[in-house]
Amino acid sequence: MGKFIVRRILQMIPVLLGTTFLIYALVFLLPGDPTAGRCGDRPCSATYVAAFRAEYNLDKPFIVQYALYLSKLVQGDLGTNFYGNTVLHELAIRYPVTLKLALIAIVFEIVVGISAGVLAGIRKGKFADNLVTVSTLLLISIPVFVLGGVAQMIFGIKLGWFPVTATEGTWYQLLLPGIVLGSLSVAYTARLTRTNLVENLRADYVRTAKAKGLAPQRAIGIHTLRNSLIPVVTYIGASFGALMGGAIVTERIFNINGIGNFIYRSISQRDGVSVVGAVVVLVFVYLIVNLLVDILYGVLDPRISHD
Amino acid sequence: MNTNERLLEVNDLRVEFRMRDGIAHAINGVSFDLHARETLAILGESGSGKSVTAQAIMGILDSPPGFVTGGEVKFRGTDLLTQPEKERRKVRGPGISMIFQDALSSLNPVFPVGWQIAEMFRQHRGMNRADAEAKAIELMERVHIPAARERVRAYPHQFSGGMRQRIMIAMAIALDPVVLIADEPTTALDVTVQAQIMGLLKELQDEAGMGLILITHDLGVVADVADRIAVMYAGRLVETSGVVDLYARPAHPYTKGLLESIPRLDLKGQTLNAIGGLPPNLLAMPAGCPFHPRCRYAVDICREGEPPPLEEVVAGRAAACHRVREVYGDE
Amino acid sequence: MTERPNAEPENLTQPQIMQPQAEIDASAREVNLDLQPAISARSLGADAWEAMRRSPLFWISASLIVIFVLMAIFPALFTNKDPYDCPLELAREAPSPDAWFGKDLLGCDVYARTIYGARASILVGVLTAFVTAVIGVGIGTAGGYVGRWVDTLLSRTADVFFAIPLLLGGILIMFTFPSTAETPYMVVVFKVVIAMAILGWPNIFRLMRSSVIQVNPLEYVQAARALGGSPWRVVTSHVVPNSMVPVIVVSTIDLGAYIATEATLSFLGIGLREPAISWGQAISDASGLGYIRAAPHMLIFPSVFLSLTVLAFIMMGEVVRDAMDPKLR
Repeated sequence: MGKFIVRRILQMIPVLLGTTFLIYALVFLLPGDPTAGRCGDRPCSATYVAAFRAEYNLDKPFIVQYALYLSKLVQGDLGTNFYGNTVLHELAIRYPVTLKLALIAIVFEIVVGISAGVLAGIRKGKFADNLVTVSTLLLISIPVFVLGGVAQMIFGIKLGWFPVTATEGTWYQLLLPGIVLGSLSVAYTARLTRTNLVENLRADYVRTAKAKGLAPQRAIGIHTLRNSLIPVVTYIGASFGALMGGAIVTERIFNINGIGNFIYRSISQRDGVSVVGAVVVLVFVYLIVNLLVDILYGVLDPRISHD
Repeated sequence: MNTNERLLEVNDLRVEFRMRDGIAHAINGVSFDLHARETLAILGESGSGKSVTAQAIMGILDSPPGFVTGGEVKFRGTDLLTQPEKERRKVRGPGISMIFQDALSSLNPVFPVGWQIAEMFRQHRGMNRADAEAKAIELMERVHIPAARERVRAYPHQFSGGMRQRIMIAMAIALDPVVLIADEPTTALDVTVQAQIMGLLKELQDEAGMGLILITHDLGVVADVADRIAVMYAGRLVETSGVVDLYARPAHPYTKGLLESIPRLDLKGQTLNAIGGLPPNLLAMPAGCPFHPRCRYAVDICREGEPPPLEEVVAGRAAACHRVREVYGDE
Repeated sequence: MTERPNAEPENLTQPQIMQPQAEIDASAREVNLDLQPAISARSLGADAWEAMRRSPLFWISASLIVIFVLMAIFPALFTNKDPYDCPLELAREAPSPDAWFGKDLLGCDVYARTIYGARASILVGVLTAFVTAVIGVGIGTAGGYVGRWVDTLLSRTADVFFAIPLLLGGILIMFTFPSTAETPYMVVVFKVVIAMAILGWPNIFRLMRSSVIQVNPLEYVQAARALGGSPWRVVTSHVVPNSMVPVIVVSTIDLGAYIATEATLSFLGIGLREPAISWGQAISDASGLGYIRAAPHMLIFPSVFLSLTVLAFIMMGEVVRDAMDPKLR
């Protein structure tokens, strides 16, 4: 087990290096002026350009540039925007709200997604199954920003069940945005759970469980579900990427003062240092979450980690 | 246990599969019985209904599409088919138990083997975790798995094919079943391992006096271990016989064909007589005897009406063939 | 591309018909007893078409796709209004017989703009799906067919691209290459397409690679090789066509996702922008809080069109997938 974890962490390093390099290349190495559009709608002042070029070592060979950039990144230096604030500080004051929002979304995704998937899977071909299949298809098709606007209109304004905005970021205020944010992943989670359950219910070991005289609840709940949820765990990790992209949109719609909204505002103010810094952090969080999920996968599936 | 007790009595069992394209009559009136210490081999091709028979006896048919539509399965005198599912469940394990062909897929990949054996004791006997694990180790030793104590927490994929089948067997015999059904227990294994597993089954049967139903398509496996053989074709028994008699003098053209298609060392150089054609489509069974399209004895009477019933040929032997006299006498 | 250097020579020279004697002996009794019941002779393709024809979802999604594609190519078929004719004094007017969907912030006709918005979404979706498919199929075939270190290198590279979530990466790229009001329409479209294709190709790559690895050992591919077919011919006439079905299915589903992502980027103000008309931008304009209260029509119509388009492609992909994979039925 320990060996497996170490191996996974080591395998992660090249991906991390590659990813940071790719981001760096996309932002700094491609043709064009890297300071273009970084200072609002006006061209940057000569002093800012000079400072920027020095900060990112743009006059050095690009491998050196990248190495210096990486070493800064490792030390948590994400740069200073032209308002003079460090991006790290901007993120530090905003992350608790985003964390709460993401937590609500994930809990919603796990609880509702898995329950709906299990229900559909054990009633394959019946009404519940069709209901889940059709409603998840609809959810998948509606982009988060559309769903957010519509949910705000119906549940916030028309029905008044939830606050229209979540400026203070309390749990109650974040409930509706969290559900909106998790809705896409909830649909995929439900479908994946269903597919795996249906497939595993046909597996030979389920027949064995019946032949052992186990109650159906145990044959399904212990023997089938455990196997069916392994891929779902992986998906939930992967869905974290979509979740963070969705957070940018959701936080904007519900006016939540988190990292997503910070990115959105930095985009409209063309504050490049902030946009790149914050997005890089999100990509990192995504990669780390996936590493953890990968390890969890090994814990859940002994065929991966024990050999 | 009464040494010659009749453990299992199957009467006119009928099973059908209701599919999209129609109803497949998988088992059409199968009857046999099984006594203590006896080994009955059910022999047939894939699709002949031998595995379905076993699953119907166990009550683990996939339903839908499979439905038992008639007959009785009497276990020590009680018909299991009319029992409520809850009662029936108590029979699985301590009463009738089953092992399957592919132990790798039949064992749950994500639980340790010891846990899976111990589950029998925990669920049926309400034993605590530690005691159940001790029992699991005991059973693993009984089926001759080396270093059982160290390997009790290992997972199925960490064992070889033969060892996995031993684990399957340990699980099946955990609660000292009265009847053990082995569905192609050695098909997935190497020849040498096959012999070991059959030896183990025989050994366990002698110790406990179980009745054993051995389902197989392999005439070679049957010869050494079975007392009686029931040959199945298209969901019917076509011949039942003691094992020695059957090999010496088959009474049904299908059995005869099977025996002739075994390669024999003493007849090296001659062509094998394989049975031509394919088994019938269960959705569109031919009229008359289902075997007639492949039968070299077939005459007009075989091609019409109901399939011939299973009738006694001589004491202890029966065959379902209009031309049984010609087949049995034709040596 | 060159012939894989380690192609096992025995596979090429050993006649497949002759088996060692021992094997025949061992398998004789199995063959006789273990015959599989005959399977239907109808081909998978005909079967799949039968299954699709009977599915109402297929007809719904097909009709939607036809309508939206027509809308993208000939918007004038659906409306005779000019989407750029925007009298400010009519701004945010509610739906009326004259303007079915009402007017937007600048007084433009919402119906006309919604119809004209189809072009950008369909264009971006189709182009991105096409470009990712071309890149993914090309690189995936190379990796799967050539194997060895080439495959390892390509797979690790794909991992790196795959590790960046589509929307986050799209934001980075689109932010680095901003468009202005003067940027020509097609250039803006291509920027979005390329941004998403850069991040989207590993999906198809992985699929194609594993398809090729599955198809490669099949006998007719080996036979084509043994008969001296050039690697290029073997790949194009045998390996690729047989691996295309999953690629088409996934590309169709992804197409829907690309349309949604483009709309999200436009919603954030870094995707398509004026003078291009796009649903994402229209929804963005409409979803200011005050407007949702006062003029919900500005939000609802483009939202419904966008969602239906995404739905149509995802549904179509799934119908085809289910039809090709009888196991799921």
